[in-house]
Amino acid sequence: MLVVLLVFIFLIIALFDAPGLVRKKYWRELAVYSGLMLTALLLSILVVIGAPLPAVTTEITNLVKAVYRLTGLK
Amino acid sequence: MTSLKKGTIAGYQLIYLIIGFSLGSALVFAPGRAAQQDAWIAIMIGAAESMFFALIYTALARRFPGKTLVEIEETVFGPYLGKLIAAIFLWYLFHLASIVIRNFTDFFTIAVMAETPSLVFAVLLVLVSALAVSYGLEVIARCSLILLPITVFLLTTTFLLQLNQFDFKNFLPILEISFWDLLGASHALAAFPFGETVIFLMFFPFLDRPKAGRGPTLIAILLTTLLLITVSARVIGVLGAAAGLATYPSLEAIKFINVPFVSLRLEVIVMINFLAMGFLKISLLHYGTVLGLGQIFKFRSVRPLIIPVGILMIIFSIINFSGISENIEFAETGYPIYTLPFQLGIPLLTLIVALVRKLPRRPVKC
Repeated sequence: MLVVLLVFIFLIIALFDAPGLVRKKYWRELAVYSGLMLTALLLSILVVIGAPLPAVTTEITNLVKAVYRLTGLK
Repeated sequence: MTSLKKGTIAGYQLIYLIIGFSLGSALVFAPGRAAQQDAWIAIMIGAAESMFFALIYTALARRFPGKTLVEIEETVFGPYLGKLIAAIFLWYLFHLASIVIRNFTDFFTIAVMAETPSLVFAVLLVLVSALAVSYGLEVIARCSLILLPITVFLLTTTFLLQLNQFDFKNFLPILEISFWDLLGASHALAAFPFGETVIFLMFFPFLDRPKAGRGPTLIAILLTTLLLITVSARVIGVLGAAAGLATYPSLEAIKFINVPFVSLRLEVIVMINFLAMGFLKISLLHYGTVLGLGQIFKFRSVRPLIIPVGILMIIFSIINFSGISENIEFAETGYPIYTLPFQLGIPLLTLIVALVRKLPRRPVKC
């Protein structure tokens, strides 16, 4: 149900933005816009269905900690 | 000037923007927490380090007046490598925005409205930020002219109201921590919040005199240092060693304010300050990311990017960490090192290559 609602919200946003880009023949903008919106939709669905996504920033902390261990700084 | 860079701001507006941006989330976290009672010393050393960073940023801006960092990278490193370096820099702005949104939502769900889903705060904040970004930098700068004085007034007032609760023994012993720990804490402060001013490499071209960014930047760092010392001194003076235990020390400190015969919940002051400065910080990061992406893809308008980038920021704010403890660990351990390539590496490398290649080349007169 939440996924359907999400797709609906994204469709509404796209209906606000995309027609203007088509009217002005801004094809490059439309291509990047579509790419970003599809990525956002896909990620949102994954978050909503509770798919195990990597905690980006926590992974960065782990990487820095590994560098600390290797260099013996901490 | 391309159509993407609309509007101009004056030098004094840049000062307001930098102070507002730097105060951002630093207002609720105790700046220099790792240095304990010596936080005020760490803030001063961190500010000195960040002034060195600022000299690099402004040297770049003076060398390439009217160009954002994205355009500078393309001039210095060519269209392909330049775009790649610019994209790496934009990742930092985007990622930082998502972290700030997470700080913001964590603060409101932990300390203020525990029953409300964090997504509500994130969506509302990004909607306001998207609106500000769609109006452009001039409008954000004008907002800072209203929001910053309110924040500074509230900060000063709460500082004065708590002076009678200060225990000056809390500041002793001075320099008890080791030299290296102090340097570590100072560098953490240079990275957050001072070094984050690297984002202004995207905004120096908006100045009415693009080469005159150095003075306002250094003045802004000095004033931010003073304000952060005020915040830090209040926390140490009132809470002492207990400050290290609190997630939001400023909020805990302000609860001790006692006005005779009046029942006040002054925590709202910290919330107002955080709302105001958090809005400025997220709007500037949102605008910087959108403007940079627009320039990489040679867009004619940044408008189509505002909403998708905002949504992605919200999603990343959710998947950044699984909890507040990971957020604090990242701020203390990961962030000071993670930011080095963005805050120092990219600007310094660009400046050195520009100097070696003697860029920008002046047009040959026939």
